This record gives sequence, C-alpha cells and structure tokens, in this order.
Amino acid sequence: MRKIITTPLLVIYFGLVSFLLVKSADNGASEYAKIEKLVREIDQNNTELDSAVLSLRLGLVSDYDELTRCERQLSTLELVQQNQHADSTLEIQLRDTLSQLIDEKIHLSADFKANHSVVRNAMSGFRRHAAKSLKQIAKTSTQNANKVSVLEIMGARFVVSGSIADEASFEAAIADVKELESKDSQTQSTLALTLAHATKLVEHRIELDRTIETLVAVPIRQEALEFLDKASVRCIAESHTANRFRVCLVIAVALLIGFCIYQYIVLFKHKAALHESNASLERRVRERTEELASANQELEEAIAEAKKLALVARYTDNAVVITDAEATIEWVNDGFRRITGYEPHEVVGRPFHEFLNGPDTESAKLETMVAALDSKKGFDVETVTYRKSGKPYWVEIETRPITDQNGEVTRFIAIESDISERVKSEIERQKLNEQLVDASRTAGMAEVATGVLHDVGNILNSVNVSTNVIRRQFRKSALSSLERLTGLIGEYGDNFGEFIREDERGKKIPDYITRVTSVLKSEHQAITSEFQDLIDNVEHIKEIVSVQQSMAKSSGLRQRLLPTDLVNDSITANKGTLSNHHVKISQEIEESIPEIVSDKHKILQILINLIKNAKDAMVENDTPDPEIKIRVACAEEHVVFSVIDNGVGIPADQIEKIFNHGFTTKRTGHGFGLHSSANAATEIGGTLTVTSSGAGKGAAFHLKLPLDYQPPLATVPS
Amino acid sequence: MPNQVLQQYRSEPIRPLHAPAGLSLEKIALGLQLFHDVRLSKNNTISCASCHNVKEGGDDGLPTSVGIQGKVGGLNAPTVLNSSLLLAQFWDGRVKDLHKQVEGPIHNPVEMGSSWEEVIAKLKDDSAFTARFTKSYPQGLSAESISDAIATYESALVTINSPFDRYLMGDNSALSDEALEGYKLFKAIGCVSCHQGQAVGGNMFQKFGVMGKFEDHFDSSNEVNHGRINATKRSVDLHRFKVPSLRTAQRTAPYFHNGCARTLEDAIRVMAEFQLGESLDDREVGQIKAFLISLDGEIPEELER
Repeated sequence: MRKIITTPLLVIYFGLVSFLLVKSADNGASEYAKIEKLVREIDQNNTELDSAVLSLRLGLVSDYDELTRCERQLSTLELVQQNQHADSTLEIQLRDTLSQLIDEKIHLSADFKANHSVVRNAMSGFRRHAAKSLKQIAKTSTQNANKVSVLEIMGARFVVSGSIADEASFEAAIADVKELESKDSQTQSTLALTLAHATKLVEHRIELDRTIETLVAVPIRQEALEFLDKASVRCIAESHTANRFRVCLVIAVALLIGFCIYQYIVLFKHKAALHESNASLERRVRERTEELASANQELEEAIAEAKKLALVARYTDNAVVITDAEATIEWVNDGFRRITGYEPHEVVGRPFHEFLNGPDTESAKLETMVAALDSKKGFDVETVTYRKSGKPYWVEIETRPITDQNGEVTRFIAIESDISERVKSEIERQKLNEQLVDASRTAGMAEVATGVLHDVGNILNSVNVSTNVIRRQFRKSALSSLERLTGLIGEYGDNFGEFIREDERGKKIPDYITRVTSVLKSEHQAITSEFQDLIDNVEHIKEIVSVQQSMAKSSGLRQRLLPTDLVNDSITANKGTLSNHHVKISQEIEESIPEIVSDKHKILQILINLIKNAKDAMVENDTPDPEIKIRVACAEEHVVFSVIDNGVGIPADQIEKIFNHGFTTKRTGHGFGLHSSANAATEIGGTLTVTSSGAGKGAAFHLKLPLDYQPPLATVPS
Repeated sequence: MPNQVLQQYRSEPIRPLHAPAGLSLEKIALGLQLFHDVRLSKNNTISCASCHNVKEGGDDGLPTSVGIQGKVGGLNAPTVLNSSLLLAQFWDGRVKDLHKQVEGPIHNPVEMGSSWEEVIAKLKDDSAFTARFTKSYPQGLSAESISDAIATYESALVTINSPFDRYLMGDNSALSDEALEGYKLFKAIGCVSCHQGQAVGGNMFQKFGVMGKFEDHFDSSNEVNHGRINATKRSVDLHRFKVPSLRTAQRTAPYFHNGCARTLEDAIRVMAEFQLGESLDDREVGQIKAFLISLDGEIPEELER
C-alpha cells in the first residue's frame, strides 16, 4: 500500500527536482562571458582596423597588409558563425546584428584602400608633374607659370586639408590652368597629366576622408556594447530567475535531506531494534540449532539403536510381532517365520491371537491373552500354539503395549520364544524332582535314620570309649599290683613283717600300699564316673531313639533345660575320645543364663556333634595343644552355645558349603553331621553358624536357640 | 606575425616572404597528391595542376584556361604560388580563402565539370589512398577534408628567398643595379601604391582604368570584365579587380584577368598607362621588368612534383 503511494510521490518529487535543477542552471553567466569576450574581440578588431586606416592615412604605414589582416580578423566572426552551431542564442543574435555592419566596414575598408592608393598616386603624380610643368612653362610664360604655381599651392593645400573650401580653390586653379595652352607637346602632355592627376585628386580626396569617416563611424562598437548591455540585463534577469529556482531547489533538496535525516533516525532506531531482534533471532537460531543438533544426535542414536534393534529383531531367534492398537499384526520379524513357519505377508493384517492358539491350547490362557489385549494391557503367558505345519509347540509370549506421549496405546509388541524344549525339560525336571522328592524323602528318612545312627553312633562311641576305659582301667588296675603284693605276702608268709622292715623293697611296701590304695580309689572314682557316663549315654541313646520315634509321630519333645547341664552332658558323651586325644576342654558359661524350653535331645545331638567335630579338626591338624572352649552366652531372647576349637579351621571358600548335605573334609567323614545338626537347629527354631579365621586357625560353631521354642502346628518337611 | 616582429628590415612598402609554419606534412603530401589527381575532373583528364602547374609558375601559360573536353574558360588562371597570401581568391574576390576556392573549379562545367559526390566516390575506390587519407583526416573523405588537404598543400607553396627579399634583409648584392633602378622607378611612378606588402599586391581591389578609360582596353559589355561587382553587387566595385601578386610575375604570362597582355613588358606598359598615366620608355620598362624578375623566389622541390 505504501509503495503505491510513495512511488508516484517519488516520481513527482524527482521530476520537480530535475525541473528545478534544469531551471536553476545559470547559463546567463557563461553566456554573458562568451558574449563579452566576443564583443571585446570585435571591439578590438574594429579598433585595430580603424587604427590601421588612420595609420595609412597619416602615412605612417605604406602597405595594406596590416589593414587586410584586420579585415580578415573582423570577418572571421562571419566565418566562425557559419561553422559553429553550439553558440547561444545571444551570440547568434550578436553575430547576426554585427555581421552586416562588419560587411559594411570591410567593404568600406576595400574602398579606402582603392581610394587611398589612387589619392596617393594622384598626389605624387600631381606633385611630380606640377613641378615639371612649372619648370617647363616657366620657360615660356611667367603668368602661366604663376597659374601653375597657384595650382600647385592650391593642390598642396587641398591635399593637406581636404576641405571643401580648398577644394573649391583647387578646382578654380584647375580651371585656370586648363585654359592654358602650350605649343610644346611635351609641356602640353605634362600639363595634361598634371591636370589629370589634379582632377583625380578632386575626385577622390574628399571622398577618401568621407570613406574614412564612414568607415570609422560604422557603429560596430556601439552595437556590440549595446548588445552587451542588453545581454547583461538579460543575463542578470536569467541569473535572478535561476537563483530563485536554485533557492527552490535548495529548499527541495533540504527537504529531501531532512527527510533522509528523519529516515536515518528512524532507521537508526529500527536498526537498534533490528539488531536486538537479530541478536535474539541469532540466539534462538543457536538454541534451535543446538536443539536440532542434539535432536539429530538423538535421532542418530535412535537410528543406530533402531538399526541395532532391527538387527536384533531380524536375527533374533525369538519371534517379534508388532501390532497396531487393535492387536492386528503390522510387522513380524524373520524369527517369527522361523518359529511359526508363516511368511510375513500371510500374517500381516490378521489378528494377533489367531496365531496364539489351537486345539490343545488352554482356553483359560487364550482368554487371558485376549482379555489383556482388549483392555490394552500386556501379558506374559506360556501356552501351546501351532506352527503353520500344524505341529504344536510351547511358546512363551511377552506382550507389551506401546503408548504415545499422551498415554494412548498405539501398538503392541510381542516377543515369543519357542520354549518347547524348555517345557519338555521342565516336565522332565518335574518328574525328576518328584523322583528326587521321593528319593529325598527316602534319603531324608535315611538321613534321619543316618542321623540317628550317627548320633547314636557318636554316643555309642562314647559308650565304647567308656567301656574301653573301664576295661583298661580294670586291666591296668592297680589291683594287679595288689595281687602282686599279696603274692609277695604269701611268699614271705610270716616273714612279711620282717620283709617290710628290713628289705629295701619291703620298706617301700607300706608306702606302695598307700599309693596303691589311693590309685585304687581314683580308679574306683574314674570307673564310677565312667559308669555314670555310660548310664547317661545309654539314657541318651534311649532318648534319641524315642525322639526318632516321636519324630516319626511328628511331635517334638519340649522341656525345661539348664544350659550348663546340656554342656556337661555333651562333654560327657565325648569324654572318652577327648581324653584319648588329650583334648583340653573348658567351659565359659555366663552367669545368670536362664533356663530354655526346647528339645533336649536335639540340642544334645548338635552339641555332641560339634564337640566331636572340634576334636576331629584338632586331631587332623595335629594341633599341639588341642583345646575346646565351650561358651554359653545370652543374647536377647536367645542363648548362644559356642564350640571353639584351635584345630584345622575352615578356609573361606569352604565355609559356606560346610552345612551342605554330603560335604565333608574329614577323611573318614560322610558329611551328614553338620547338615543334620543345622536342620535340627532349624527344627527347634534356632540357627547353627560357623566362624573361622581360615585354614589352621581354628573354628567356632555357634548354636543360637530361642529361650522358649514354640514349634508350628504342622510339620514342615525340611 | 613575422611582419611586425622584425623591424630591422629595410622599411619598405614591400616585405620579404617567409616559409609557412605549422602546416602538417602528411596533409601537404595528401594535398599534393590530390592537386595532381585527374579524378577531380569529370572525365579524369583535368587536375588542379592542369591549370595551376606548379612547376611552371603555378599557372598554365594560357590567356584563359582550358577545362574538360577542351572547353575554354573566361579567365586567366591565377598562380597557385603564394595564393595563401591573397586576401581573396578569384579575380573578383568572391571566395575568401583557399578552402572555399577548391569547389569552384570542381563544379565549374567548363573547368572540371565534376561534383563532390563524384570525386569522393572515385577517391573512395582507391582504398590505399583512402586509408592514407583517413589517417590524417579521421572524418574520412569529404568536401571539407579534401578542400583542407588541397588548401594545406597550396599554403605550403610560398616562394621564399627571392633576390629582392634578400636585398630587403640586408644583402646589398642581391639586386642587380637594373633591378634596383626598376624598384626605384616602381616606387616613384606609383606602382607600389597597389603592388605592395609581402605579396607585392594581392591585398586589395583596384579599379582598372584609374587614369585611363576601362573601355579603351576591355570590352565592358562582357560580364567577365565587370570585376568585383559580380561578387558584391556594389556600384563602386565596378571594374574593380583583385590586385594580383607580382612575386612570380616573370613566370605567369599572359597577364590580366583575361590574359590579354602576352608579355611582362606589355603588362608593365598597360599598367603604367591606365593606372598611373605614365608612358614608359623601353629602358624604364626593362628596369621594372628586371625588378619584377628579382621578386621571384623558390618553393621546396618536393612540392613541385
């Protein structure tokens, strides 16, 4: 819109300016200068010509070359006029005005030359011949000579003055002399010549001066100067007009400049704004570029990722299916074909679940899948479906919905694995498991039995040991010494008293008998304690067996127990073997250990086992000072029995396996002890743990039992 | 102007000639060729040199010239030598300068009978000449350029170094006694009033028959004898003719505008009688003739062709 307004405005403005520019051109000054120059030249030439004429007239110059040159110069204007066309109108006017006058002048000059030469010759001729005549006539007539003389004088006067009065006198004198006649032909001819010259003088003398007057009076100078004045006036007027136009032009241009300045200011402001917006634009561009770059980067990464994923999808053995939101298949990968036997074009566009079921498919599973898809949810299902060939196979399907940024489900992606093999092996495993369970049940029973046997074995070991001790004791008994002594008595008979008093050996016998008696006492003590132990152990066996029986009946025996008793009983059970191997055993029982309510026999089983193991460890290690510490401590609602040895220790890599069934490090071990002990501990609500600093650094087993164990109602098989 | 500069000349009404300065040598050469080029005439028989034979004094030695097809003209061909010094060209002075003079003979049916178109066309056919011509005259062959070339050549034909000029410049031995006497007489009886200046004439118009009657010598009914009035239409110009230069007078017989004076003596005698009212005896005529002979100078040989 603005353009439509401004363009014609601009055109008008520039038209105006051009007009003013043209009008303000002050040609007047240059024109005037040209005119002035021309006028000056004309004036000069004119003056020179006049000068030349007068010089000639005065006789200062005797040839017409200079005058002719002046004529030429003056007439050059004419010549120039014909050649140049670019003169101003004023110049042309001037030339037109003056050329006529110049023509006139030149003609007058030509007339002058002709007249002047004639007059000059007439003068000279007259003088010459008048003088000659006078001489000739003076011979004959004085009167005539006088007339001739008068003629001469009048002629001379006339020649000099050129006045009319003198002319008249001269003419009179000529008339006088004309009357003269001479007989002498020569004189006559001379006279005739004289008169001829005189007549010529009369003809041309005054004419000459008039010619000169006229010539000089040709108003070339006046015309030129007048013209110059007119030109001056006109040029000044032109200058004024031009000046006025120039003022207008200046105003117009000033307006333009003002406008430009205004525009410049506006532009400047806009420029600043532009700069600002430019800067912000740049910023935004930069930001966008960065965004774009990062987006690009992401895109590249995504593309790379996608390519990788595509590779995955292409080459994975699993089938990948992509469906739309309605679970219609959009795309399947190569794996799908490999698994199902269907080509992509056979499945694209079909509902997804079509390929997830067949005759043997559990309807419940199919319903689950369809329901999940309908509700736009994913599902993980293992089911039977059918290949294209009709063969069934087990498939594990993981389906997930894909949502857009609004949370709308746009697609489903499903990954199917052919798990037929796995299912098969799963079934087999199941079978094996059952077998195992049976086996384990059997084994468990066997284990229990073994455990019982083991525990009983342990105790029987102690029994054995006890009986061995007793037997040894009896064997080694000091009784034999007494027997020997009686033997000796018998030998000496009555002399025995003497023997005792006199014999060196015999002196020792009272002492010896005392010693033997004390030994027998201690033997008796030892055997008694051994017997006690024996009885205890047998009791223990009875208990174990009854426990086993009660276990078969699945009811645990609970009774109030003192930890100290438990520790002592378990030590006793191992007494024989401990003393055999010279294992020191010590107790550290905390004060105020409360009673615990639990299964005595299980606890004893465990403790006995632990002690036995400890002993075995030290025996194996050949520990120089084998020592077993038994600690009992109280911890929260539990009591902790710790069996600490300085035996072979347990390396770090075995410490976890140590409670495993069948694990043993003993040469003659069968690995049941710790396992069943751990199980037993668990059965009575406790834990069995071990700590060891490592190989050769001993071990510590901790049995942590609750103070009051309440078994659950149903038995939980281990 | 050389005339004004050197006042050491003898102050005489006659002044020495000087070689013309500032003329382009190429243009002179072109003008020389054109001056002698017969193609300027209609039937390619007449060139400028036919009537203005530079070798023979610059005229044709005929009372009136002969143009194409033997057509006889009405006037005696003036000499081309020193013609640049004349105030006007032709006996009636109708043309101011040599440039303007060229077209006269070209178009005159009794002279060359041609026209500029014809001449230019013929010259353009000559490619070698045209090429050479165009070098000096970029505007090419035209009336102006051809006239200018010819005029430039003619301007170069100034007869310098005459015995009389040498006398004027101080060489007293240059003039014979007879010539000197002739000069004195020339001055005394008044010949010098009209035959003066550098060119010994050529700078004014004068009536024929100052002392004598015109009709006594010429047929005044013949227009050709009317003189300057033919050009100016001024009554005073009746029987006025351009005063010819006497510089090369010895070579330009016959004399006067119609060539009626066969010899120099004739011319001298007629002039003395009709212009000065003098009758000269043979001795005087001889002296004046000797003087006139001493006026003749030389032009560069290469310009003679």
